[in-house]
Formats: sequence, C-alpha cells, structure tokens
Amino acid sequence: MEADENPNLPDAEFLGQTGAKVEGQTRLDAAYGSGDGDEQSIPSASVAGGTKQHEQAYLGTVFDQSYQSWGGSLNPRWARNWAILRHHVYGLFSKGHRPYGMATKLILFAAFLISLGDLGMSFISAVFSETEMHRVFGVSKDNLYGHVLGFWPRNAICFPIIAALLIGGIISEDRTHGTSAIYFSRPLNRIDYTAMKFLSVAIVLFMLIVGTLGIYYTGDILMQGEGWAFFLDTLPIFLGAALAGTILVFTYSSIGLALSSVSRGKFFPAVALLGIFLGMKLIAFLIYVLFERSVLYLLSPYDCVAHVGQALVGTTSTYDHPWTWSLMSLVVINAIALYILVSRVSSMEVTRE
Amino acid sequence: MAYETNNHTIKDPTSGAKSGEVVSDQYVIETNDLVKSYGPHIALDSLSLKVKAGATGLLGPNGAGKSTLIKTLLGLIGVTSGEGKVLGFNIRTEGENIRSKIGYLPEYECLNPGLEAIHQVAYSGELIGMNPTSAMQRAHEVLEYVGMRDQRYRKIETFSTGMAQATKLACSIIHDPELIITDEPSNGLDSRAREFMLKTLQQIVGEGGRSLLMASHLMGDVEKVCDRIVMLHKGRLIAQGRIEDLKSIEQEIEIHVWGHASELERELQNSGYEVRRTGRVMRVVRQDESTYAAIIESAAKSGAQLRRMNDHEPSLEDLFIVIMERLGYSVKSSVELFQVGGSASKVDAPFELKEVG
Amino acid sequence: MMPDIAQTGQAAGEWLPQAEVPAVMLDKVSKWYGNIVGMNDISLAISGGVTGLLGPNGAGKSTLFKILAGKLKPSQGTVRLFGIDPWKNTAPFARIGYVSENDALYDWMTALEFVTTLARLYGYTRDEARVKAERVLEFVDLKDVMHKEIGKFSKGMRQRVKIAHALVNDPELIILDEPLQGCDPLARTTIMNVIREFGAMGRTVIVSSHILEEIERITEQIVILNHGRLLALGNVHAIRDMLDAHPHSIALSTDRPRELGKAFLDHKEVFGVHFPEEGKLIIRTHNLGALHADLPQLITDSGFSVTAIDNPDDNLESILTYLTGGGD
Repeated sequence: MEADENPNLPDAEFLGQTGAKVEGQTRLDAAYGSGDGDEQSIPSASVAGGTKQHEQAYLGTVFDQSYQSWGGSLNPRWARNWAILRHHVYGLFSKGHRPYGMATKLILFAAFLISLGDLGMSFISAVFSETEMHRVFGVSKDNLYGHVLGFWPRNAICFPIIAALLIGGIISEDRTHGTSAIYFSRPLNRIDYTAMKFLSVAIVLFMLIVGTLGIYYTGDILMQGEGWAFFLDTLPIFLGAALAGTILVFTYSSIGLALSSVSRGKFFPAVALLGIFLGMKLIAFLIYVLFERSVLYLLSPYDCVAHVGQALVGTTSTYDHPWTWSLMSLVVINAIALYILVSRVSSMEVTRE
Repeated sequence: MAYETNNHTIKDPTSGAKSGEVVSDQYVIETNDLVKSYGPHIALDSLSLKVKAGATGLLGPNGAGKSTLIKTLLGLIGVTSGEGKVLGFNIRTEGENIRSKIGYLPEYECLNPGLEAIHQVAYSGELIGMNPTSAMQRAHEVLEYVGMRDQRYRKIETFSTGMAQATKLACSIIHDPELIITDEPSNGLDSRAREFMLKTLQQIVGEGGRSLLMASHLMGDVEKVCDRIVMLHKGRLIAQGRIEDLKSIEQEIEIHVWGHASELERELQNSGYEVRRTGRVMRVVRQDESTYAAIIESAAKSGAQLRRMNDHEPSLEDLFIVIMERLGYSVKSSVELFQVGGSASKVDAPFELKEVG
Repeated sequence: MMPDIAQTGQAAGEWLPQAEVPAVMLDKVSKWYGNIVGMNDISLAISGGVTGLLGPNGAGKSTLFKILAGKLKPSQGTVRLFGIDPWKNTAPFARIGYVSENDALYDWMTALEFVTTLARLYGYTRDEARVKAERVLEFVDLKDVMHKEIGKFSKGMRQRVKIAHALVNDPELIILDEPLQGCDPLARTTIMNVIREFGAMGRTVIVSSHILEEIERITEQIVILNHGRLLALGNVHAIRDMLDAHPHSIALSTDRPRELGKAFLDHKEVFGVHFPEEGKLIIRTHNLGALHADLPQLITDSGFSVTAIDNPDDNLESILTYLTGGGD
C-alpha cells in the first residue's frame, strides 16, 4: 500500500514542513528528579515495617488476552428500538434490564390490585346475587368513566404517583449517568430514542389504567352472565372510556417525560408532575368554589382529560364550558410538553454535559 | 496566524480512484476542508485530515476542537462546509452507518450504576442492533477480554475507576468495530489500570487489526499505543503523520548522574564534549562510538555514579511542545509569575501570544 | 518515627520560611470515618522542596490532603501548619494554596471573577485582587477566555482555573491533588516547571499524581501511602535501596556481554549476572550504590564498550509495585 503512494507525498507534515528538529529541551528542563546530582551523601528515607506482607498482595497480571473478532450481522432500526423499549419495560419484571427500585415495583403491583377493586366488588355482588350492589358496582357509564377518570383516591393519587415513579429518571438519568453517550454514539436517532422512552412509560400506564378497565369490563360481563346485546350496547361506552384512558396515559407520559428531560435528578420530575396534576386541579377547584368560574379548569390537564372523557363516555358534564375547549387545551398542553421533550433530547451531548 | 496548513500542492494520491471503496481501504478517516462553526466561533477550520488504518493519536491543547471533531466524525453534528468520510461513509448523510461500524469510548462516565456490568455491555450491543442472544454471548467475551471476568455480575456502582473504564471499553468493542474512537482512555486510572488499558488498546490494534483514534493529553500513552498522530490547534490541523517521521533523530546521550555531577560536567567539557545539564540529568552530544567510553571514563575519574545512560530519543511531548512553540506559545517558568507581580513595578506582561509570521 | 524531609533550596529568597518550623507537621494523626480508617497513625514533617504523594486509589491521599487543607479534623493526633494548629487559628491558610481533586467551581462566574473573589478572601483590596487574578490567569494561559463563564470551560481549562486560584495568594505551602489531570502537555510542562521552581526556592509543595513519570520528573522526595498507612517516605532511590527483598539490577548494553559479565563477577557486591538477550548484560546486586561507585572504573578497565546503562527497577513504578501491589 505504501508503494502505491506518490513518492512526493510526505508521510509526515507539520506546519507545512517535513521533519522537525526536536531537541527535547523542555523535557531536559523538567527531567527526572529534583536532585542536583552533586550530593555527597546518600539521601535518607524510611520505609514502614512489614513491607514483606505487602508484597504478598501483588499477584501480578498475566496478559493472556486475545482479541476475538465477531462476524455477526446487525439488525435494522426496529431491533434497536425494540431493545430500548424492552430494556425499560422488562426492568419492572426481571433483572438485567433498567433497574427500578423495589418501592416502585411494589407500589405498581399494589396500584394494579387496587385498580381491580371494582371488579372485586362486582365479583362479590355476583357471588351473593346482590342486584342492588351490582347496580352500584356493575358496568355502567358512570363506572366505566369513573374507573379511568373519576376523581377519587385511586385515580387522583395512585395513577399520578405511578406515573411520577415511572417518569422520574427516565430521561434525566441518561443525563446524570452520562448514559446518553451510550445511546447517541450508536446508530439510533433521537426521535426513536424519545419515542421508545415515551412508549415504555405509556405501555405500563396503559396496562394499569386501560388494561384494568378492560379486565373489569369483560370480567363483569362474564360474571353477571350478560348477553351479547348488553355487550354490544355498552361497547361504545367502553371504547369511549378506553379512549379517554389512553388520552390520560398520553398526557401523563408527555408531561412527565418533558419534566424528566429538563432535569438531572429523578425527584424533581416526579414532584413536578404531581404538582402540575394535583396542584392545578386544586387551584382550579378553589377558583371554581370561590368565584364560580370553571374556565381555570382549562389549565388543569387532569380536568381537561376528564372533561373530554365525559364527552366521550357520554356522562353529564361537570364543567360549564364546552368540552371542545378542554380538547383544544389538551392539544396545546401536549404539544408544548412534546416540544420541550424533543428539543431537550436533541441537545443531549455525547461528549460532555 | 499565517502558516501553511497543508500540502495542497501535492496531488492527492487517491484522486484517480473510482469509488469510495478504494478510499476507505487506505484511509479510515478522510476529511476535506471541513468547517464547523458555532455562530462566530469557528471550532473546526478547513480541516483536511487523512487518517490511515492503525493507531492514531489525536492531540491538541485544551480547546483545540478535538471534541467537536469527534462529534463530527460520528455524524452527530452537522458540518458548516466541507466533506468528510469515515470508513468510506459520508459524515453528513451516513452517520448511522458510521456509528454502526465504529466503537466510541467517551471521556466521561457513561454507565448506569444500577446495572451489572454484563447487562450494561449486552444492552449497549443491542442498541447497535445485535440480537439479544449474540449480544449477551459477545458481552461475556469482551468483558473477559478487558480483564473483568470476575466482575461481570457486579453492579457498576461498586466499580473503581479502572473497572468502570474497562467496562466502557467493553461496551465500545462489543460489535467488533473497525474503528475505535477513544477520548482520554486513561484519565483518572492509577498506574496499574492505566497500563492494562493501554496494553489492551495496543492489542486490539496489533492483534485484532482494528483502527484506533485516541484523543489524549498524555503523550506517553499516545506514544505507547499509536504510531501516528494528528494534531489540532484552534480547529486547524497543525501536524499529522508518523511520530517517527515528525521527530528527527537527535544525536545526544542522556545520563543520570548521582554525586559529583559538576565534576563530571567539567571533565566532559574539558575533553571537548558539549553538555547540557539540568540537575542530575545531562545530555552529551554524541560525536562517535567513543563518546560512550569517554563518558564512562570521565565518570570513573570524577567519581560520579552513572545511574543511567542511553541514547536520548525525543519524546512525543517534546514534539508537541516544539510545535506549540512554533505557534508562539511557550513553556513558562515561575519567574514570569513573579516578575510582573511581586513588588516590582513592571507593567507589561513578560509573555504574550505571538503570531507566527 | 520523625523523619525529616528537609531539602536545601538553592535559590531561596529572603522570605524563605524559617527552617526550624516545618511547613507541615503531622504527629500520630489518624482519621476514621465511622469504622473505616481513612488515615492510620501518620507522623511526618515536610519543609521546603517538592514532595510527591503516591498510592493507589483509596490509599488515603485525599484524606491527607483534606486534613492539610483544613477541610477535615483528624480524629486523633496533632497537625501543625507553620507551627500553628489550623483548627485554632486560621492564619496558616493565608500562606497555603490548595488544588483539590474535585471539580467544584462556581460555573456561573467568569474565571476572572472567580479568582478575584477568592483573592479578596485573602485580604487583598479589590484592585490588588484583580491585578493578581489577571496575572495568574494569564500565567495559566487563560487570558483569552477569562471573561467567559467557568461552566463553559473544558476539563483542562477548569483545572487551570483551580491552579490559578491556588497561586493567587503567592503561597508558601502549595498542596496539589492531581493538578495535571486533563491538562495538555504545554500546560503540564509549565505547571511541572512551576512546581520544581517553587521547590527550589524553598517553598513547600506537596503534589499527587497517578502518572508516575510526572512525579519522577518533579521530585525524588516521595511519601507512599496505602490503606491509610504510611509505607515509605524519603528519597526514591534511598527507599529503593531499603527494599532488600528485591535485589537491584543494572542493565548494560554492550557488544561483549559474557566477557564483561566475567569482569563483574569478581566484584564483592555482585551476586549474579545473566544475559537476557543478545548484547545485554544484567548484573544483580544488593548494594546498588556501592556497585555504581565502581561501575565506571570497572567498565573502563575491562576495555569493552558499553552504550547504555539502566537501573530497570530503580524507579517509582517498581517501588510502588513492591510496596503496595501496584494498584487496586
């Protein structure tokens, strides 16, 4: 290969010249040792006793490495994306993937059980043939809506807390640990990275919120032995509630990831998410009580989803303004969150944060 | 600064070649007039690099544009103008292909402390597109290779700097890349871990036949591993080529003397030898084969102990400093710190950055 | 054990600290973190000159530095800086410059503001502080960027800000924990020069580095720590001489190794010679100094030509390996 080259091409160049005289004066100036070389006596030193035992600690390294090449082929984009998704979702269930705290896993499990509470009540009413009880706990517009969006402790506390736990470090940890370098020095694009992180959170929340809705709905129908007619009658309501749940999941994820992407820790995004959802709800509620204005509910993501959900399911609206306003507000809120998320992710560095 | 950066007068030996394939055979990295600016700040200034297969050191003072160059080569940031190819792929459009073929060892921490080493490495392989089984198999192989056989199932948060660095290296070589780009690979390692890291890199290049671009401030490390260098300053290319060719062989003998050094110095000078001395270290200009005997004889006469004697070979560090001196920088001494200050009433700075005319 | 690492500075200025008061004195100092021993019963006195502090990661170097910098109070024992207990009187700190290993700087300040602010803490007036800050920043080659925020600096530049701030008060005792990390060769050589020169002036410099070549180039006075204990201190070569378990060797490059080897076998300090490769002769001895004293004469008398002499295991790396097991 060398011979093919133009013989005039210098193999080394600097400042346009070849071959430099390097004297190494600086090395000499700062050369070995501070002594002046004129000492007449041997310098003193002391060595702590027991040096022999320290030698024992040294076992030495025998360098018996040999580099092995790898001839496998690389899968395309979908496989890489699937790896990210799996890493985050499987982490909840098994070792070797993204580590989640034990508390997160337990709370998630507890929330899952709590979310099946209405199925339990329906089961009890079926066992004891309590029609009165079943009227309260069986499948109905209000119950399907309530499962996803009713403002009671499970929805108001469990779901946001789970969302907060899931999104806490999801992007910020890549900043703190520097793992963004691992992602972005590989053939991934940032949109895929963001989308997979988003999906991984959304899937878990979806299973928790909409999944349990589905279990409740089918379980109740089976246990009560309702016929096809009932099923077909209630299916649109169920789908409406499921869609409302999906919107809720989407909103939680987009706001949560945006918060995670602007921070470095996992505490801030989690607290901020709870603050935004519950705080805005509280402020809007106080304003409503004091001044009888419901417009401020437009700033509360939870109420916007609830309002849209009410329209989708077809229950009576608890808000004074039209539901389309809430839908618009929701679109704007999500758009802002996604914009922040995408722009923050695109500024993540592989070299130094 | 006015100086010629490159050999534009010499025809590119590859210009007659038909396809990019040939280019990639010869150069793993090739850029042509690459410019990257951030607003008014020019990070890379018409950079024309040619990096051959093998180990190449990427040198330059702090802020020379090394990080920017690495990001550009990975296809992560757009270039303002110019062209570049890494392994035959265009850095403007084929970043994903480049990143599939190279391994990157970042300077800073990049591991998830909650994961076990084996899973971190396997995951980093999956992210390149390896399927999970082969990624896991290969993760065992590379972790063993970087000396982490017994720490594979330990959590990364318990690792020392050396172990973390080895794990990072394992992550970057899991897919057997053709080119490995390392950023300060021995930073923060103690001497034993550093030695191991350098030997490993050396072996990947030597035995593994892979190419390496190693950014480092430790000239000793670069000299151990690399046979070529590329040196940047303020975004410009100021030197590239084989280390050996950039240094001219100096005919000097270095001796380390213990006791009676001044007598020895006098003795040698009286015998007509040119001697430079700093403390116990002296350099004697080598006149011919008899110089060695003359030094030993003089030492015998003056009673000096010759603790060390060898042909002085200028180090890469000397080369670096010579190049920087040509650019108008200089190694300073504390005199400069005191001269201006202290109680003396000297006003102007004793040292300024000079433009090289 | 109260060894004295006093070193005579040649170019000592008239402000040279009085030799009878060591700049640093530790007497039976220990530091525990809960049950973990950070430093165990260390006594040493350092005065004038440059001392290299060595040891693998986790050997207790940082603990020692923090105690010297007044950041930690020892659990036991006495610490004296210029003869004063730094926990009772903060006066010594005005004479100390400290570069810590961690990277804690005010990212939102410009380099000039940062160094000026810290200089003012030493009691300089605003103008004095600014002049001094500008001078040290220029010295570390940060003049061009001194009005930029530190947050935008690269690692090497941040390191130089730390060094500038350690030099701003013209200190007599300088404590440098890994000062060269991330610096380019030019800055590295400059900083090494300054360290050597400060030592030659009689100031006291204590410096640590993982890169043993750097310590070798700065000083021969070293302190080796491991597991919080003092393993050795003093001159590198003297320490090496004391490690009897590891005989010394002298390697010679010569055209007639076997014949030359025979000539050496008669010397009383030589207990073995061997020939590892063509043109190489290795002589084993327990008394390096004595053999070296006679070596030039022996070679001259033998009449064979020798083109290189080396003590392959008289260096910091082998000392550290023998004493600590080389690393973690």
